[in-house]
Amino acid sequence: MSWNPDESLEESDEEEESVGAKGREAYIFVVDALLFRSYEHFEECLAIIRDALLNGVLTRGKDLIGMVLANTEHSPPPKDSTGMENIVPHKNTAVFIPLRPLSKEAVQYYLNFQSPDHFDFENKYGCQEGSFANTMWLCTNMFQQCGYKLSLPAIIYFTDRTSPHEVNSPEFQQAMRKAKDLNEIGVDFTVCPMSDQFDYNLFYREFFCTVTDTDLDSYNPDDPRRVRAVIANRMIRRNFQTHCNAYVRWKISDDLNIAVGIYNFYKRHVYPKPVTLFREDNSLIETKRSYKILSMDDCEARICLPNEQRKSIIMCGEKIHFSNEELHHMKTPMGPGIQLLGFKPRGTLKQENFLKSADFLYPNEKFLVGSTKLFRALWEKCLEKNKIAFCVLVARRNASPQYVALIPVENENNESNINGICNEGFHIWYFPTHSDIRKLHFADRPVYEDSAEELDLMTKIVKKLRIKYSPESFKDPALSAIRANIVEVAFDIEAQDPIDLNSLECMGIDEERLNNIIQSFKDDLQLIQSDPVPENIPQKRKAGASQSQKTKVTRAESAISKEDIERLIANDTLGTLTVKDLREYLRTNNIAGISSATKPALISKVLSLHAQE
Amino acid sequence: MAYNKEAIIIILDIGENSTRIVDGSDQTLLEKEKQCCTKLLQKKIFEGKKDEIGLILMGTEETQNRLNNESLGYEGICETFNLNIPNWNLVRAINRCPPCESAQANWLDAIGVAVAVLNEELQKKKFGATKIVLFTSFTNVGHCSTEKGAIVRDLKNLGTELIVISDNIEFCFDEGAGEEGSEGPSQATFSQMPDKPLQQVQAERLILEIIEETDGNLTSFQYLIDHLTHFQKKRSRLWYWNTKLEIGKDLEMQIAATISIKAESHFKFQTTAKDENMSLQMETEYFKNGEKIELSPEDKLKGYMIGLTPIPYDETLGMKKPNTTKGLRCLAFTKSSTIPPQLLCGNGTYLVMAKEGDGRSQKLFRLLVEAMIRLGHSMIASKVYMNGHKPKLVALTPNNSTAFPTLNMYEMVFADQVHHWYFPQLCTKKTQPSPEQYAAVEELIDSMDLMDAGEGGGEAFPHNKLVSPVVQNIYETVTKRALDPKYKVEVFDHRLLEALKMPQVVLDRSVEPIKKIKELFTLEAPKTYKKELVRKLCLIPVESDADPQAFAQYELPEETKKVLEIGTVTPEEDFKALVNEDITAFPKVSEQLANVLYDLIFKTMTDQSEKVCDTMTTFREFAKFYGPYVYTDWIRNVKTTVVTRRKVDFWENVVVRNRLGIISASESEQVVSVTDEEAEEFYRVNIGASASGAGQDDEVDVDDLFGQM
Repeated sequence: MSWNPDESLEESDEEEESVGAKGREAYIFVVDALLFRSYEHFEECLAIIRDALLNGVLTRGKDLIGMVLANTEHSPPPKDSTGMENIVPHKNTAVFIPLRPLSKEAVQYYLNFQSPDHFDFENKYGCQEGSFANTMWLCTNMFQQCGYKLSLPAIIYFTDRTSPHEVNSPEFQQAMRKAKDLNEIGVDFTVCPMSDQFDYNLFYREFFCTVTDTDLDSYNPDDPRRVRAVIANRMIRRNFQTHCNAYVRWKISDDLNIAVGIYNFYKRHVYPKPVTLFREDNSLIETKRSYKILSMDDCEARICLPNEQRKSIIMCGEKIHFSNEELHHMKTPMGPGIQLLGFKPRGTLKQENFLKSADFLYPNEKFLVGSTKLFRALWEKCLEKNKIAFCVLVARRNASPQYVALIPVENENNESNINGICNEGFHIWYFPTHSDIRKLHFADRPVYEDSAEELDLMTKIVKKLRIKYSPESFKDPALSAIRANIVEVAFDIEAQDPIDLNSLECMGIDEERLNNIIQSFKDDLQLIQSDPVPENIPQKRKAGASQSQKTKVTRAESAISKEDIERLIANDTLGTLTVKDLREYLRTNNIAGISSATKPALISKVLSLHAQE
Repeated sequence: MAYNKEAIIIILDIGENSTRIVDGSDQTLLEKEKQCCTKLLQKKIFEGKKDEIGLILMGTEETQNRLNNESLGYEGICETFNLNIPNWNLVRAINRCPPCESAQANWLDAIGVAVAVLNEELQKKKFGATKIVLFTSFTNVGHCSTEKGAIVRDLKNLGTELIVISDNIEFCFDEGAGEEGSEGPSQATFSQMPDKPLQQVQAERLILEIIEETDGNLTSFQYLIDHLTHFQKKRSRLWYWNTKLEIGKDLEMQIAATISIKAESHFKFQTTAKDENMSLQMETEYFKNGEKIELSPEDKLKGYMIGLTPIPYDETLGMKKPNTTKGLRCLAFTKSSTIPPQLLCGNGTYLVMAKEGDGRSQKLFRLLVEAMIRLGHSMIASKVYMNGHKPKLVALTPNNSTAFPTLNMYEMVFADQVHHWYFPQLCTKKTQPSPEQYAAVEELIDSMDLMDAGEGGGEAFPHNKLVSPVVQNIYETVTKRALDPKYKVEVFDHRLLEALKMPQVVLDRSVEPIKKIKELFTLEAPKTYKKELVRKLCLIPVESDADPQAFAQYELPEETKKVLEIGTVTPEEDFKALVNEDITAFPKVSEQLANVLYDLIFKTMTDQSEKVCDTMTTFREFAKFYGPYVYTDWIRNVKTTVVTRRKVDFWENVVVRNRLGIISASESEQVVSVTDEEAEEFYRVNIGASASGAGQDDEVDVDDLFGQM
């Protein structure tokens, strides 16, 4: 085998990093102006883009966004055309928003465009069929001239026509040639069908497969409704070639490797990132944190360079020191990769022992041609024999090794495969180590027999509240609330009803219906007799119970009067009060900043309160 | 307050026979004893327990113990360290302890001293348990001042456990006791050697009697070392999240939840300064428009960025915090199999149970769990950890491993977080393996079965007993560094590394199948012509230039001789060759050509106008057919540069004379929006009055350039 794993993959890894980590993502929304003829679709399309802009402007402010109209009759310049001097759109295309980091003004401009007459759309832009290749050319030109280094240029094309040109017409061929260009410059392409019945086979399947350089028979068509929802959420469908977490090698033995990629199933940070502003003029404050070194004799602090640092751990009152390099040796026995240790029957895996989120493993042909074939054979055989692969995974440099199971998953016949969340490949399941599994010892509880009627009643309740779960069922209400609030403040959009995070409605559940169902069982539920409380509760719990009773009693009495406090101040015995009592007293007197204050701080606050009076 | 700390007295035998080599190892008895003691103390130190440890040495030359002060006897026994929380000094002292060849002491006396110490200490402090750990081989017996009966009585009175650690120990396995699940062998006894001195036999018999009568323990060095090797983090007391589970308004139950699985962070390293005289601290600095400013907390305002515009969003401006209330609220039930395990998130698993002592809640909870098991359902709920916190989505599924009904609780991702991937299907015609390939892979999977590859033919890497080698390594290394600050940390401990490697059995079995797979599957690095070419060119040694034959052997193979990209020497030919080979490559090739031409026009010192003119003409002709806009864009760029660099000669002599301007609609078959008038207008440049000085400017530039060189 000519491939030297140590050399080749490391190199490619760096290449990938330099493209992936540096540079911005750029998205151009292309709207087919012919949608205007079926106005409903046009409006829906504008609403999707609006959501995508508003969602994106908060969480992904650094991405470049542009908008292009295709198949227009006229090509008026965009409102602000700075940086567009060198781009002359061809016939039947118009730049609506030039490609640049999204600004408040651009969003505002777009929101104004959503007005009923859409800036006199029919006369200003008009509809006329034009060349698809020309539109793509305009987009690639915009990417090339945007002045930023791009990690992922992507085109999202909104249309309701299954093919922009007649099959086998010269324009059709030209469009296909353009697809090759897109592949070469690494542009991602997504079509967003505006009609629910959409035949990808006429044009977009071939176009897409050429852009991504994949086989035609590996194409998975998508439900148009889902595509629209995904785009509105600004979770643009991720291309496995551009969004890999880590490329590693799966070592079957010392000299047999498969090149694979590791992918996340979900995004961890979706909340907009708060920034610090200067109160006087709302200007942005940059915060930098660094280690400063202070010598004993001279008060001047200076930045501590990494070579002046070391790592220490305090054990038994003694500081034990290690250099950064030594710590690295202690923590990392091996470089990145997956080391196969063997196979086990799937039944041995207890998936209820959940430690951390699973990841996905898919072969990578770019670094090692032939990986997919061996990967597929292993995958199919593991499925057939119901086996899992037991491995050690080091995902990145400097990461500690972890024991993982690679579980083969199928796309079809999978009950949890709702809306194509499952793809064919291996799931990476992380094992907890012995010390991660806590040894819980509980006192024995008495065993009671329940009557069949009681159990039937509960079964009925559970059945009544049954739904079919899908990953799209539950949206994060806190995220929606904060987005809505910020957008409201920023764009003076009319305030909608605030989202009540305490209700179940915010989670998409009909609370009234749920209450009514339980209400209908209320009488039966009341008949359920409670278990007699056993007398032999272990000693420890009893002690705990009496203690909690005690605190309850003191809490009931804890409405400490002003007189009591004055008496305590006079005797200088304020310290005899508990932190809770002090807080309670300060809270009743409307003093802020007490939740994290220490006891001395609380006492000084009480004293200053009384001194003021 | 619960007194759950222990008092442990270690008795270490350093007398006459301690330099004897232990059978079956290369260590002396004393070294073994030290190793065991270090492990024991290391464990106590790392687990952060408050247990107190004292040290008594027996077989020392001097005598220093409280019983000797009171009466005679008890010779050769030293109370070296009083009962205290263990520290590194104690470990160091034990490790430095020299053997004492000439002295003898009686082990029973030493136990007597330990009992006396405990007796006194227990009057001052309270302990949950007391232990005496005796390390000796029972081979040296000095004069005995203690009675067995008194010791047994005292040990019983104090409730002290006596643990005896010695060499020559045998374990006899009771039937069924040594099987999986039971903790260690059940019975340890002294091995029977024919040449044992009578004194030792008597001593061993005596200690066995004492152990029997006081419920003590006898074990070997190796057993202890094995058991002390693995580091376990200190467990704090069980913590509960007490709250209520609501299903609608009218059905609620009191519950308690506790963490059952969580990734532990074992060691917390701090960053400090290398220089002992310096102190290090983390400082936050604030910058406004690049200038450092002092910022008081009152001046700070929280906000968010809308693109590049900051939007203030602060609680002081009337923005509300969430008004959520703590608790678990049921949203719905669903089939357990529809919850995809890949959408679980968070940091582990919680165990949820009904609150103890609440009869009604217990009953309702039990019924609920029963009903869920019966239907195979899971609950989806919203969890608010504390008042005012954001609600989180959790799934609760019945847990079968506890004695009473419990639910496992996992956090789940919201719809907003799910990634929508596009992965092509794995099974395509291109990736279809042959029957032989399938068979080879099947053989590999069978040969690498781990179920019989573990110790004694059991399962290798049992899932609930996996130990992290990294944690163990840090544990060992920190101890070594603590005892010896000069200890060098260079590589990862090889012994621990074994836990990350394939078991030898599996490795041996898989040799053949792997060989077969390597034969059947081709896995190779993708071809990168360019890199190969450069590598080959670099291989040519300098002196071989003179020898044409030597050069010939480095001649590139025929297929790589073709044109790869356009050069500046023969741009026109290169371009034609490339375009004729694959016309679909026109956009890419023309881009290359445009760059080369640009360089030829603006960056060369010599006059290349003839070559440029020919190439441009070809370029323009091709562009008319395959993509007029490529040429048009390029020539527009050229024009702007011409204007800024005042290359008026080039413009007039090459572009205008040969009509090499933008392509108009009448010239091209492709859709072009350029009219003839526009095309004509394009030829006009307005370089202004200084145009005449252009040549002079150029000369100055060149001089400047030379000057800089």
